[in-house]
Order: sequence, then structure tokens, then C-alpha cells
Amino acid sequence: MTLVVQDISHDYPSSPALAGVSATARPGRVTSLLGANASGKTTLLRIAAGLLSPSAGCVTWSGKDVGEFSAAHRAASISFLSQRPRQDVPLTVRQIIQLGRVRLDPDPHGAETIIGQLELGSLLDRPFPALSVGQQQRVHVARVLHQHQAGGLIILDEPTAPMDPRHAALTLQMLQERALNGATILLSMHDIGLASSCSDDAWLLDGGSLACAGPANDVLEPARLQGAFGLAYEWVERHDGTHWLVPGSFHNKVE
Amino acid sequence: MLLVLCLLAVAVCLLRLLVDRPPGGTLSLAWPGASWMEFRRTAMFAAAIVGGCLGLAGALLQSMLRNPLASPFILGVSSGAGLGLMVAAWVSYITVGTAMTLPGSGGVPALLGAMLALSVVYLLGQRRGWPDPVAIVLVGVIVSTVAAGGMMFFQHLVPTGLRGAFATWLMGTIPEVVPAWRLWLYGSICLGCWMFCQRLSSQLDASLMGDDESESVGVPLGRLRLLLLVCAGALTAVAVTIAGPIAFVGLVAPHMARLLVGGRHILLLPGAMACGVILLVGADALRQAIDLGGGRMPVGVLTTVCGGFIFLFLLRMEMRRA
Repeated sequence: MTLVVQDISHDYPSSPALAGVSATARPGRVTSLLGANASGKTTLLRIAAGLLSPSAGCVTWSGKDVGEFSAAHRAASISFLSQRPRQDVPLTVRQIIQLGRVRLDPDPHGAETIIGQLELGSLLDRPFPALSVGQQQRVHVARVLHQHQAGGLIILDEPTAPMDPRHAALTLQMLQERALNGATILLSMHDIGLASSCSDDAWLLDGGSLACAGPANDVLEPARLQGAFGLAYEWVERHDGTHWLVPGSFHNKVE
Repeated sequence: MLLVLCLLAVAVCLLRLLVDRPPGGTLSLAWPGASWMEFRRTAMFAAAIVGGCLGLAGALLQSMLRNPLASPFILGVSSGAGLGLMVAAWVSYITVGTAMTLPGSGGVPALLGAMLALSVVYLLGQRRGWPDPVAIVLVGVIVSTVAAGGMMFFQHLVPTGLRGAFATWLMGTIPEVVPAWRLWLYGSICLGCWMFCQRLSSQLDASLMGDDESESVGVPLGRLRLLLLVCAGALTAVAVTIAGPIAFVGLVAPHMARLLVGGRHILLLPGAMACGVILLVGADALRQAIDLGGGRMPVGVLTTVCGGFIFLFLLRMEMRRA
């Protein structure tokens, strides 16, 4: 159950988005996809989920081309959260979470567990549009986790961006638990510090090309990040002896 | 609440049978004699079928396009169906010498006109490959205007005697004389479309989340949209064939249903149909009481005037929300 991205290129009518990207995401590991704005992260994640056909190359999950998955097979294998889910869905929180298994067997017990873990119990019967953006994102994360089946692939495009720090940490912790149970997790993030703390592997995109891929500790090198983001990063030691990657001074910005 | 809506729809249908106002007489409620019963029953069933069709078509279009302002009339589907009918009537006039009867016949050309209008709106109302809510309404208004212009053109081509019948039909009129087999056929199409779409209700729910989200939970969005497009076109064609272009019932009925039974399509679709029946049969009963000197007012005039204000209110709400 491995996600293999093979020499993916993609062009939009106005501009190229990806050029020759190849990488692998393995089961049991959390893989972070990093890169500046418009570096091709969203395009790559949509191609990896089988929602967008690349101009060249292919993506395989468990040895099969994701572009050839039937709708039902995709629902059973790949759970996906886009960068900007709609906020005006006229349903309740409970109904949206249940939609995760619209083509799968119901799993009410699993849903209750996820709802409890993401602290959504008090919101279940509220209309979805009445929630804050951060709460809506937690609902969509719950929907994605509810859809996920053992050994499947979970792809999330900036899942923690609108969340407060506590719920962002809670979400990443749940994703790590899923990975420990055999899931393959691929998620894009802009918070490099958070990515360095939760990821096993990382892919770094720079201008539509893959700058580096491998274990997170190898990829998240301050010099490499400075090249990709135009911003200096540095490791700082925390009181417990672990290290945290933080942006340095804005004065160090690459011209 | 759905049960209450259905009971209310039955009650309004009964009211339509009972409303009695002989020419020059006063309004009263009375069970009609056998001769009048036939006319009233036909009008009641025709209005119920048209209301049900428009309510369901409106709900399908609003869900498919994720646009609360979508409806068969605003998107030009009604006008497209009307133009199809007008062209067919004109062709039958120049080839056979007599125009086919409006309303009540010409379902196939109406369907072709509705599907053509809906396809143009759907294809041109996209921005970067996605249906854009504002673009769809704008293109719909333009298609509606062009189709209305086309209807006036063909109306101009027929002799003066026919022109009057066409003009009355264009206002939206519930007929009191339609062959029973046609009502059975149109009623069956309406119920068939509802039963078919009802089976897709959970997929329709998921489609509200957005293209990527719905496809990722296993909804074959392209196929679903095509099926809904055909159903919405067929329902509108049936409504226009029976009663001409009736405005705003297809817009207001789904909103009413959403407020009363919620957004899940398993309740929304029958709820929108019931609301469509209540609105149109109710308006048809109400118009029996209105006589401003030119005979009974066509029901389309009543729905257009009332619906126009409701549309403005919904537009205002949507702009505030955006």
C-alpha cells in the first residue's frame, strides 16, 4: 500500500504547475508536502487523489493507476480534504460527517469516536454554515477520518491552516495515530515547525519541481528551506531537549 | 413536517375543486356538479403536475449548480422549452396549415428546447472549468431573453387569430381541457423523475460539499450532473407544455421546502414538489377570486408578480451572505 508519484508534470492553460515530480509516500508514515505559495502543492495533491489528470506521468496506489479508479474504489481507498471546502453546505454537522461513508458501509461507532476526539459533540446538530471556519475545518477532518478505512490513503491540503493551535495539534496527533495503524498520510502545510514535529517524511516543492524528498530531518534543512521560501530558518532547542524549526529574522530574507 | 406539507397540498387541491365563482357571480365554496367537475378536476391535476414538476426541477437545479438563485425560469430553461413549442407550432402551421394546440401538446420539441437552453447555460456559465454561480445566472438571463425574443418572433409569423392564443399561453395558464391520457403521461413523467432522483438523494447531499469533496467520497459527479440535467429539462418541458412558462414557482418552492424540512434531499425533493403543488394550485384557486375586468387573471401573472418580489428578497439575502 504505497503511493508512488512517477514523473508527474502538469500545465494549466496560463502557466505550467508541475514539472517531472517523482516521490513515494509509505504506509505507517506521515509525509508533509511543503512549498511556497503557487509552488504546485494543491495540484500535486489533487493529482495524487485521482481528482485531476496530469499532463504527463502517473500516480499509483497499491500498484494501480489512481486515475483509473472507479468512484466507489476511490472512496474506499483514498480520503481527501481540499484546501477550500465549501462553507455554505445546508446540512448539519452530523450529516456532513456521515457523508464520508456515503458509498461505504455505515460505521456509527467509529464516527462517535472521531467526534469525541475532535471535540465536536456539542456542535453535531448545528447548521454547518453557522460554524466558524476553524470549526468547519474540524468537521471536514472528521468526515475524512470517518471515510478512511484501515490501510488506506489520507490526503489533506493544509488541514490545520484555519485551526487554533490546540485543535491543530489534536488533528495532527490523530493523523499520527492513523499512520501508526497502517495508514499512509500525505498533507500539505505552511507551518514548518509543526511539519517538522509531526512528519516522518517530507517533500519540498520549489517552483513546480521537487527540490528534495526523504526523511523529514534530512529535507527540512535551514539552507534548503531558505532556498525554497526565501526566508531563513533555524533550529532552536526546547526545554525538554527536543528541537523546533522556526523562521529567523526577516532581515535574512534572500533578495 | 413533510407529512404536514403533503396534507396541506391535498387540502389546497380540494380547495381548488371547491372554489366556485360563476361569471358575474360571487365567490363561494361548493362541490361542483358533474359538468363543472370535469373542468375543475382537469385544472387541479394540471396545476398539481406543473407545480410538482417546477418544484422538483428547481430543487435539482439549485443542488446541481449549488446556486440558490437557480430555477427553470431564471436559467432560461422554461423559455427554451417555450421556444421549442413555438417553433413546432409554427412548423405545423406552415406545413399542415393549422398550428398544434397550445397548451397541452408538443412535449418533444419543448424537451429539446429545454435541454438546449440548459446545456448552453451549463457550458457557458463555467469559469476555469467550474460552474460559477454568478456567471450561470447571467448566462441564464441572457438565454431567457434570447428565447423570449425568439418566441415573440414566431408569434409574429402566425396569423392574428393564433397570435392571441399564443399570447395567452405565454402568460402562463392552467388549462381546464386536456385529454386524460396526456395528464396521465405527464404525471407519470413527474413521478418517475422524482422516484429516480430520490434514489440519488444521498449522492446529491454529498455533491453540495464541492466537486473534489464529493468525488472523493465516491460520487460520480459527471454522470450525476448529466442525469440531473436530463431530469430537470424533462420536468420543465412537461410544465411548459401544460401551462406555458410559469415564473418563480421553481425558485420559491425549494427554498420553502428547505426552510421546513431541511437540506437533506431525501426530504427536500418530495418537500419541494409538495410546496410547488401548494403554490401553484393555491395560486390557481386564488386567481378565481380576482377579476379586474378582463376575465380571470392568468396564473402566470400572479406567480410572476409575487415571485418577482420574493426573488429580489432572496437576491438581497444572497448578496448579504456573500
